Amino acid sequence: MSSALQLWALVRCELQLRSRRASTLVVLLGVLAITWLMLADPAGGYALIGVDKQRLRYSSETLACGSASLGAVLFSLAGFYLSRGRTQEDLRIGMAGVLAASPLSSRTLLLGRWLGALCYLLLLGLALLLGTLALHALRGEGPIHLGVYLQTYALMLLPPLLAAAAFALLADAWSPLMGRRGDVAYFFFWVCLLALLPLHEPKPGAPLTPLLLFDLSGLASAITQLATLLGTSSISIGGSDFKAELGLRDFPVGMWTAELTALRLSSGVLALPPLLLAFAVFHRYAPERMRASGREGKRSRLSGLVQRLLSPLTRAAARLLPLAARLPLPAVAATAAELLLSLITQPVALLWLGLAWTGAAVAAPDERWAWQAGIALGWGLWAAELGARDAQCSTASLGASLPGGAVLRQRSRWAAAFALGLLALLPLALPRGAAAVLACVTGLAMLAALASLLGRLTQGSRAFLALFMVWMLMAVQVRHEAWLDLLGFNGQAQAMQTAVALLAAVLLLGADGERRR
Amino acid sequence: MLNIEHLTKSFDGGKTCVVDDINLNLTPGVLGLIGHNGAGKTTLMQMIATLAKPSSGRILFDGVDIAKKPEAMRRRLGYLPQDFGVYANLTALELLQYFAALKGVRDPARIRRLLEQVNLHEQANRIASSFSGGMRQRLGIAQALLNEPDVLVVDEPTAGLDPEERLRFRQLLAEIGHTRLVIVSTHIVSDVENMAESLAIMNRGRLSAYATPAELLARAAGRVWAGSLAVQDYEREPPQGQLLQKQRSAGCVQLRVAHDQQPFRGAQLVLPRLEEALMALRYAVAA
Repeated sequence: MSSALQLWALVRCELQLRSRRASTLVVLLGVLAITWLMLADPAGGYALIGVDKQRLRYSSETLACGSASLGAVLFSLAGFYLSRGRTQEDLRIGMAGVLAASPLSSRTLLLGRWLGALCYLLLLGLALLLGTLALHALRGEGPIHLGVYLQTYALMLLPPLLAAAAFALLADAWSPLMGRRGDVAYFFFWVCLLALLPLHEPKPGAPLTPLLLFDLSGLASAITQLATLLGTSSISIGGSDFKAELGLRDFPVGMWTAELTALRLSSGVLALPPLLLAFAVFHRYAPERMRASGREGKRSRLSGLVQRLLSPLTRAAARLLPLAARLPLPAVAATAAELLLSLITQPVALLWLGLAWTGAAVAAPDERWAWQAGIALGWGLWAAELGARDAQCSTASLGASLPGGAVLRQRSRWAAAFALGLLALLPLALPRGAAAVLACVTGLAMLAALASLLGRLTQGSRAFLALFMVWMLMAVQVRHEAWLDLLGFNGQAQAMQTAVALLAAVLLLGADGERRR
Repeated sequence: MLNIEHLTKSFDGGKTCVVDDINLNLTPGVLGLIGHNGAGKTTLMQMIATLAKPSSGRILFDGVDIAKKPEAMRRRLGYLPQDFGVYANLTALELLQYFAALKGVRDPARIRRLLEQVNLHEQANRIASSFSGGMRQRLGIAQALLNEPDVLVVDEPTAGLDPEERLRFRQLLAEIGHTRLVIVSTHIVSDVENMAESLAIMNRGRLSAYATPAELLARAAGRVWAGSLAVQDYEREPPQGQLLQKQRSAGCVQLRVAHDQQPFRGAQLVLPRLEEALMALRYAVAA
């Protein structure tokens, strides 16, 4: 069999595997929901692209540029978490040995994995495009030019998708980046890339500098180009408010110059270094290379130091475990046990909380929301771990055989995640009033239920983490949108949103429990 | 065909030796690799399957060192690991098509033939993750046989199978062993006693014995005793030696014991079963 045929078979299998997962449906629905949120209805006072408080007409160019720019930002982050995890899957189900012993070259295997992940991400990009086209038909102010959409999407989305799939491959192929370490490392890498870019106050006439090569999402490049074409630095993409009395403005002609096109195509080359590195450092499931950085391996010095420093806290939590068994109701006892287990196994989260609380206490009142968002991010990791605990520790059968069965295990984990969230976020929400408290409580209930459901459906924590991070990113960027203020830290949540969150929590919890019965 | 020379595998900079100076010369047939948990069987299998590299020594396949040229082995190897699982959401047929791509097998008819051979042809379009343990193992052996391997390495193949599935699986491996080298690792002696032509017994990383079942039985002859004791006598003075079997019936205790001398009055020398022979030999080694 030729290498090309082998590669095709591998890619087809990767796509079959990924597209048939229940999580794909969830993510596709998430993408459509995000599209609906991104392409704001001008009747509500918000526009997709605002220029000097003027709204750009909802033409094909505006909708394509706005949705592709925002989609590229989201996919450059979430794409990584959605693509990775195949190595862990191979190890978990016992496929690793067979793959390692097969005559397939490591390079072909990795290339197949990368292309498979890329196709999967392209499928999600297609969902974004179709959602945008549907909204164009609904809210558009001009004909649909498919060519414009295809050109814009190709140039904006391809580089981040190529890179996200390549970084995900590297994190799976290189033992030190496997597991949570890779997740955290990529998040910080992504934040650093974003911080590097001149996103704020782009100057008209500013050149497209080589620094923009690192603009994976293309957002900075697009804004810089728009600033030059529109002759203003006041440009916002994604849910910006506008003054209707100023009238409409047209999307400028000549967005995709040869220079910008070349820049975007060159950004795609950023996918090459992680891809080549993955080829060079691939463990090929060799037990000694996995062991060196796996669970049985030695902890890093830093990790060891943190563990030692926090050991009094974890020991104190461990001492409380016998007390949990004495609690009157089985559900309360189980919840307490799950909660304590989280504190014992992830003591770093305690450090995170301590720092965030201290920060919130000393921060100015108008900056506290940022600290609250930071705490919420830490809680998201906790909730994801709790939701997927059974799948990752292979304890589903054991848990189901205990008194109360699988449903009690699910409820107690949900309650533990919810309680941890309350412990972390409620002290900061209380001074902000009843609406913020209500939003915090219902939002936590819903997100914890979603983590539990997705953890069970996907047998892992990454689908929830990806959606959670995308939501976090949108919530801190678009602070005026009530529907995004799930935890109330933007002060926008209203009774309607909290009621919907509560209903969603009940439905998610019910659906999850019903499936486990 | 497969020569293992002074093979050693150690971890932690040589502090933990998992496989210690193993020498074997293997030809087509079924080799049973036996040892208790942690004896080093899986590590040895992983080195033969090119998953792990030896710390020292070498494995030669038709004269080629497989640590230096793993592809030479991988092209002619079928491997079924101990914890073989299947991807969720793929049918048995799709899974085999995936493995066919991995192994460069072009003939689609081969997949159908293999599915028939392992009696899964009627379930070809069923999602493989819904299969029973036995069906999954049969699917596992089908993937291992896809490339018509000369060497088949099978690690603990019958764990979790019901007696009927176990019997069927043994017959399948014995059949394959007529023309190829089949290495079966297990700690369940009954799995290999009727199909293996030779047995390699591992103990703490070392090769305790390499012989045919008949030779091992002969070695243990004169060491296995059987008889019965009254319950009071047994409780007052338990017999010396390695207790192989104890069964209470009508105030008596029926015993089978491995020992060099008569372990209790009335005990008779009996022909050992293979499992008893191994116990007797291991006891002798430990002593």
